[in-house]
Amino acid sequence: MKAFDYERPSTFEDACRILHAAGGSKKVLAGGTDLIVKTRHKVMAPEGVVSLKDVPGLSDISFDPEKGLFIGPMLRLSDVETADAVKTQYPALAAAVATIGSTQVRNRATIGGNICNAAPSADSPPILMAYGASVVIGDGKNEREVLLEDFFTGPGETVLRVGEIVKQIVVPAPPQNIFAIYIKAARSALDIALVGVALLAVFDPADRVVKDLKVALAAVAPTPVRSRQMERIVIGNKLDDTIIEKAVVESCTDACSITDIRTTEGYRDTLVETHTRQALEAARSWIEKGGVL
Amino acid sequence: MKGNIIGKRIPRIDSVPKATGTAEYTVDLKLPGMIYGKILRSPLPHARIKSLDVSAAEALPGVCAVITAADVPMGKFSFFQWLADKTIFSSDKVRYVGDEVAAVAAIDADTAEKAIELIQVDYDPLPAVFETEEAMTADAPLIHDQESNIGFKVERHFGDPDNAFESCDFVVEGCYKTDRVAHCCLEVSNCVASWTPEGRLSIWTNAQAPHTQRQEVARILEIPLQDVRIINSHMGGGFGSKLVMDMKLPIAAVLSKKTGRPVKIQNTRAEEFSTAKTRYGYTMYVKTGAKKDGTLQARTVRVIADNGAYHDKGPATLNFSSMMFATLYNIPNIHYEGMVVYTNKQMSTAFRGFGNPQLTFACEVQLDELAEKIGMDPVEIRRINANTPGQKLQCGAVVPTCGLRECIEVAAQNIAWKEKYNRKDKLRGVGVANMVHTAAGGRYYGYNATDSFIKVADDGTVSIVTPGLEMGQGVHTVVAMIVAEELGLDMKSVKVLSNDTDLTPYDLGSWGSRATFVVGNAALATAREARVVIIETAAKMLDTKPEFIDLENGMAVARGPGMPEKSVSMGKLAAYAINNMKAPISVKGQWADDIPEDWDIKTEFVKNVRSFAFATQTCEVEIDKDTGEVKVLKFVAAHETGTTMNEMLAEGQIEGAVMQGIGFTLMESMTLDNGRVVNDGFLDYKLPTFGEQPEIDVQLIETGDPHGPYGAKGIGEAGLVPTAAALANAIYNASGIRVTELPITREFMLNALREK
Ligand SMILES: Cc1cc2nc3c(=O)[nH]c(=O)nc-3n(C[C@H](O)[C@H](O)[C@H](O)COP(=O)(O)OP(=O)(O)OC[C@H]3O[C@@H](n4cnc5c(N)ncnc54)[C@H](O)[C@@H]3O)c2cc1C
Repeated sequence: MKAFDYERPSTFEDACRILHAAGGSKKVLAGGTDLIVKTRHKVMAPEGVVSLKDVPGLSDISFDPEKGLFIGPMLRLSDVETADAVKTQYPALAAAVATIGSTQVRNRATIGGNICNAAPSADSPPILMAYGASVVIGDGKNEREVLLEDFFTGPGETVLRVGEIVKQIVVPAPPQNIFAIYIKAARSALDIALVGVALLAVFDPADRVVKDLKVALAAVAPTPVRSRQMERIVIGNKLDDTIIEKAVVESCTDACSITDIRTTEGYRDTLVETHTRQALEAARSWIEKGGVL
Repeated sequence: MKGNIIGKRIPRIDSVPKATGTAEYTVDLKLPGMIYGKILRSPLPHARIKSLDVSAAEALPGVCAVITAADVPMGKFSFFQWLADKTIFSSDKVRYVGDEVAAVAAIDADTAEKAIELIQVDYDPLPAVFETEEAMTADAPLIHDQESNIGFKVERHFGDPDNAFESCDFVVEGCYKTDRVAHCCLEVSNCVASWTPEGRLSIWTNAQAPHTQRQEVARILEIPLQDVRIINSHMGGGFGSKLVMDMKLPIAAVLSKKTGRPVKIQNTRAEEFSTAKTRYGYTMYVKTGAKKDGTLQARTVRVIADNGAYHDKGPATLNFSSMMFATLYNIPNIHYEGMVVYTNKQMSTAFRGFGNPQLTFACEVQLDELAEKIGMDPVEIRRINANTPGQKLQCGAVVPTCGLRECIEVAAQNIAWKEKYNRKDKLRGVGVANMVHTAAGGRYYGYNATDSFIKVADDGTVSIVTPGLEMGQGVHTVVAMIVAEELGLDMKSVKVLSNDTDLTPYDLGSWGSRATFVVGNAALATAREARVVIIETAAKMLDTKPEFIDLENGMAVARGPGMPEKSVSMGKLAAYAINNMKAPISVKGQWADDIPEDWDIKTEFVKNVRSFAFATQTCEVEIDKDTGEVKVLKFVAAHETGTTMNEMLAEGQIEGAVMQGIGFTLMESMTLDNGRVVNDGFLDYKLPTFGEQPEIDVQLIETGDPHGPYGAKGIGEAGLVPTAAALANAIYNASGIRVTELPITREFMLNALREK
């Protein structure tokens, strides 16, 4: 492995300054489960890494019923998965995070790393997008907030500029009467997604109409994508057989699957359809039961 | 059998260091002054080397040596020297992506890697061939200087199959294929080589067969055998991949000689997937005929084995599968034709089962096809044809003990065969397959014997020096158990020494399910010798007769008619022998397989095996109609153990093997791009994990064995032999889709379901 510098600043501002001065040749180091693996495999060759371990406050998590959930990017996935607020208020996020890697990986990997690595197959972005999450980005002087669905620009690429660090992940407070689910299709129990389907439906318990629907897909495009065509078909309707079938037909419209070493385009599309149908069926039965188990 | 120790659930003696991460493997070894070697490998599957320039690498600071074909002996080598076809480095042409071209040694691994990248090689690409049947065509590129790419052939024959097929009521024919899968040892292939000032070479490596590797190293380096010493540590898996010397051993040796420093070479995981060899991929044309009543009359097969670019364990693999082909059932007419065919891929080698898992997949799937044609239940046809104890088979083999019928009964019962077979609901189904495997290695070497030594120390511990090669299967625990059982000791009082060819007696290594059988027999003989000496010593010390002495709980106890009970501890006894008798207790014992003098492997090929072990596996699967996923709900693995030495170890071996079989059947495959392994890491080479593990109901059937220690049979490989066929048959029962090629991927299943 190519040698690189290791720095561990103790303030956010210092971290940004180092990154800025390096002009893009240094990288933020979180858990390293993507960064170090890629460096080993020569996919990346950073001149240096900047660990955020000593920057205070980046592993905090808090929940406010009005404002929502605030997660520090350095929070380990295993801590996200088991946080009370996540388990009770955003169970589909907990479930999605639990599908990432193995226990060992989740004990090391962070939520910020999972997002900033910007892998099309990453498991937390689709469900976070469905929950309407955004990220707070800082450069040591200014801050900006970007909706997660606008954050990704390509495989491994984001809107982050040199010297910018993701400071926080903000998930709006969940509305009343929702159903959310993440379904991951993989080749084995320990695998990255061949396809991931995240779905969040907001419904009216009185007439069972879906008032809002967000579906986001993993591993079927250069970035995680919203399945907007399909959302439009469902919104304003009750989930019945006809609507579900219509929606499933459109489930791949916003995707552009490819054939790669893991599987074929055709099988990916089939998986999207299959798991979209499963997600919609699950939503239907949830809604029909009035939103209780 | 249940002794004080044998037959008990005894934890492995290496479990604490392994569970706590303190066990040291060869990869952990660092010697003072050690430097790091790295091999430059061919990036092309088939090419002429036009020129090679190492000057830039040599000039890189930190580089200690660069070597090429000019620096090493260039005699051709193979495990079977009559098939020699590979030199340490390729000098004229490369034959697979990964072929060794040059090597460097540098002060650290990163510098070595940088230096490798600085070596300039000019290649002239040649057309390459990757599929065996393509490689057999007249216009295929020739990989070696010979008339065709067929490496060699094996033929076995008895009876008159052609005529027999004529008189059969039912005949089925088909082609079956298995893929080349990787052993996936957690510890990659690695070694450290170092020379003494006197000119003796020590190599630390994870070898499954240190004594034969020692011979191989001496042979390829053209140095006297006495100048080579192989040292083992804990070993992170072998499965057959570490039987034959890897070229990194002589390369490290030459680098070490050149630099005067210990040199370590260790595969990256990508190198391991690309060069550490695979299971022989088999293409099998099988034909089976039976009478209306289900009795098998004739069977023929043509096996085309994918050799890869060089020879390795091909003869052993083809021979062994021929034998199992002829002995699983008592079929009077057999023809077996096997060949290995060169392709521009990494070499194939032994892998748990030596060709038997491949051929059993084909034969046991075909048996289901036959049963269906006859209109017979798959369990029934297996019951009818099962061998019985004491039977002399038409092929000449004798099975003195045989638990196949018991295996079939319990495997069928525990999967609830009667209720579940052909239920045809919810894409659920059950499948069954039988197998036979050697319980005692093979006799190809014409030699199958070993010995061990025991000494009793004055602190009461008993040490045994054994060649038993521990690669994770538990043979050291078994050896310690045998000693403890015979000498009335607890497990803590027995020490097992076994890591150095200077120390251990000659033995052929851990393969072919032979270690417990061969090494265990030698340990038993040695322990019994020790018992005699200990008892004689105790009789002197306690002033009584040997027949009144018993060994129990670490004591020699004298009990006789009309005498008060007397006892002495093992430690005191050993001290007495040393100090008072001037005869420290140390003994030797041995075991030798009585291989017939006039044995000819060609005509009496079935005699290659000393003892047979039979098994039946059944399983239940459910197929997801939307994704094609085959969910394995349950496995029942009923295996004949002869005598179960240690249930925990036996269950562990079989569960692990079933999981390996599930991977072989449903997941594992090497993806190649112009000969380069693309999925050269665990991200894309899918291996089953705990997440895939179904309930595995292991049933151990004790039938005894006339030759094994305490009647034990080897069970190291058997667990995955019938797994693929049981799964494929269950898939058919669930879906009506007959699968004849492995692996059975989800995508394949989904497409097949949609076509139906
Ligand atoms: C065996 C294994 C299995 C895996 N399985 C899965 C899986 O199933 N699903 C899945 O989604 N992923 C999987 N991964 C990938 C990886 O573990 C996750 O993406 C993980 O969340 C990355 O987090 P990290 O803290 O290790 O990131 P790092 O490797 O430290 O960083 C990843 C990238 O993000 C950047 N970065 C990190 N934090 C910030 C920040 N705050 N601001 C700006 N940039 C930042 C880094 O510079 C780097 O480019 C797996 C990895 C392994 C090794």
